[in-house]
Amino acid sequence: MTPLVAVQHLAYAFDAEGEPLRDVSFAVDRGERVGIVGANGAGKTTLLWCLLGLIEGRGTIRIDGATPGAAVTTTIGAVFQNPDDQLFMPHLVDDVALPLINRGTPAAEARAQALATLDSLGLAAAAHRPASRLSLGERKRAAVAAALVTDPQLLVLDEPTAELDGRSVRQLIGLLNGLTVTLLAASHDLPFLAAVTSRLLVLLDGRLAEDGPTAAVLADRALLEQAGVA
Amino acid sequence: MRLRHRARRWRSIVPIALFAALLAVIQLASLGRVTLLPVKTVVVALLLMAVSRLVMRVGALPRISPGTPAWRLLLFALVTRHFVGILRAETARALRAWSLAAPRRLGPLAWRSLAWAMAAIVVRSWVRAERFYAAQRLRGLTA
Repeated sequence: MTPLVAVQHLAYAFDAEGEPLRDVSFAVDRGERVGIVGANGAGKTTLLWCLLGLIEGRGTIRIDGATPGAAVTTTIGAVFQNPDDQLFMPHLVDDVALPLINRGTPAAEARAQALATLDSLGLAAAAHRPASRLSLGERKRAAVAAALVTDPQLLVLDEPTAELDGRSVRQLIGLLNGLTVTLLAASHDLPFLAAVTSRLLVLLDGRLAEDGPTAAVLADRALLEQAGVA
Repeated sequence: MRLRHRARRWRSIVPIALFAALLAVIQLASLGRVTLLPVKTVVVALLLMAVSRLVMRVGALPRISPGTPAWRLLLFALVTRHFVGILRAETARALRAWSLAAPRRLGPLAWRSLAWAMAAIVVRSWVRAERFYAAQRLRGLTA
């Protein structure tokens, strides 16, 4: 079976001196839950942006057999570090419905689907409030709802626990563990990754330093210290 | 109370005026003159802010058909409102940091640090705008 995500010899350079990604290769099977761990500047976000087709590196990326640009709007749901970069409509339900409306779904149907998605994530009561009036934890969950509403095959999360308090992190973990979608989460929050993923990719200075089961990688203290996350 | 409410409402103009002033400085540096662009920027931004506020107040969004010119105008207004919010937040953060770093001392050092704070607002707003654009592109808004 072909993997959902296949990355081969991916490299990306900002300029002649800075090369945040160097010869990164890995594959993610359908239904897998993979974490990308690394210190600040290790290349986690750059890797995700390459996968999302927002920037173009050298090497090849295939998502469900297609290049990222073509695959991105139909196959991938993305949750950015700051939910305020995603949510801007007057009401949460409009924010969640927007990707469906942009793809041609009739507005009434899109809003009904958005309400159902919000309900499934425990946000039905917030559906008719603006995102700006919600707590950061609720906004993160709302961003996940906005990413899931199109029924993507792959959910990509960039630093999902950044600035969240303990209760919000626990709620997010519960939410993500209830999903069956293939997951790719970049974070340096090791307890979060231990709770949500089954496999970890360790990035060190733009290179893939390790690729293995989460428990085994997290047990390798020397590797985590070298990667700057422990 | 009412006066404070009005003052809070007019605070939205500060980041727009700042953005227009930066446009004027860039024009002056590159063209040697300032065109009407900064003034137009302020007028259009204020009009769009008024449109988005009106839409939010009367709850008109569900009644506007997606894909129509009115829908596009509305989205443009909402995006502008969001950007003004970003600019306002970044301006407040930078000025608070500056006031803590250079508390009420005038002089070359304070002005220089204020200039750096202004530059930081531009950079941070640029980064936020880039991320906002990326997020909306993935949601099909720019298609």
